[in-house]
Amino acid sequence: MNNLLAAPDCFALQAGDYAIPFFLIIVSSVTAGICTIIAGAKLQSTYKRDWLVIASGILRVILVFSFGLLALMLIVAGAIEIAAAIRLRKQVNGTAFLALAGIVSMVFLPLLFVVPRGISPFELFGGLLIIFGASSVAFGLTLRTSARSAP
Amino acid sequence: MKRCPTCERTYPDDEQVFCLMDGSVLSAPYDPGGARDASPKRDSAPPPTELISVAKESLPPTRAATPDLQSTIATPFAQQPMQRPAQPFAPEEINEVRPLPEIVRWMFILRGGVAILFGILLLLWRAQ
Repeated sequence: MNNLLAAPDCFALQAGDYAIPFFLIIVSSVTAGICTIIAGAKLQSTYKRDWLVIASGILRVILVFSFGLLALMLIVAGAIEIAAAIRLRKQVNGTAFLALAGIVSMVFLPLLFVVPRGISPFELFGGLLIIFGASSVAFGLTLRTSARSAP
Repeated sequence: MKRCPTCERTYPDDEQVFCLMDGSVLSAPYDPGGARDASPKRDSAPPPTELISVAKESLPPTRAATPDLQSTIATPFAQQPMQRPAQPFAPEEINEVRPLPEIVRWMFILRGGVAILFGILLLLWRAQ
């Protein structure tokens, strides 16, 4: 029970103690958000239906500055990316990786309450960030127009 | 024997064509004894009217119109929108064949690369 209560408290510590991880989280989230917005805008102009990716990017940019809502933001952004992957599955290939990135974003808050006490939330966030990045890279590499809609 | 239809004179010669008095064309050979009686009589009386009792029993009783019914004449004419003819293919399948912009791929690759980099940095910070 102490673990459940103590895990989210790491974000309430002095900013000076955790300036570096906070900075890393902010920069990574803002960068991911901007890239997602640009990609979503291009997808929207191409397929006229992928405003969900834009919404996910906006969430990542805006709510990262409120650490109290960071975990909730990740859940919402992950759910939106999963929905976007479902909507785009007929247009492009490789959307499973986009859905995986969304799932990785969503599991951060639940894992905060189940990880052993020896693992800090920053380590957990870093590990999930690596998986999220790998999924995004895989999605970018496999992303192409679906054969079903190819001329 | 022939008969003149104008002056009613009769002529015994069947070969005669015209009446000698008024020049009318003589009719067919005339038989004053019973030529008319031998032809069948026409029945000029109208046929009797028959009442169809079966149809009267099968028809439903006449009912007065209920007040909630509206007259079709008073109903305003609604302009129906013109419908496009059915297309053999779904529109989304036709329109969404546009190639995916390359920048989308690179944005996701960049997002992943930055995430991997900062994830590693987070783990390294913890290791210190």
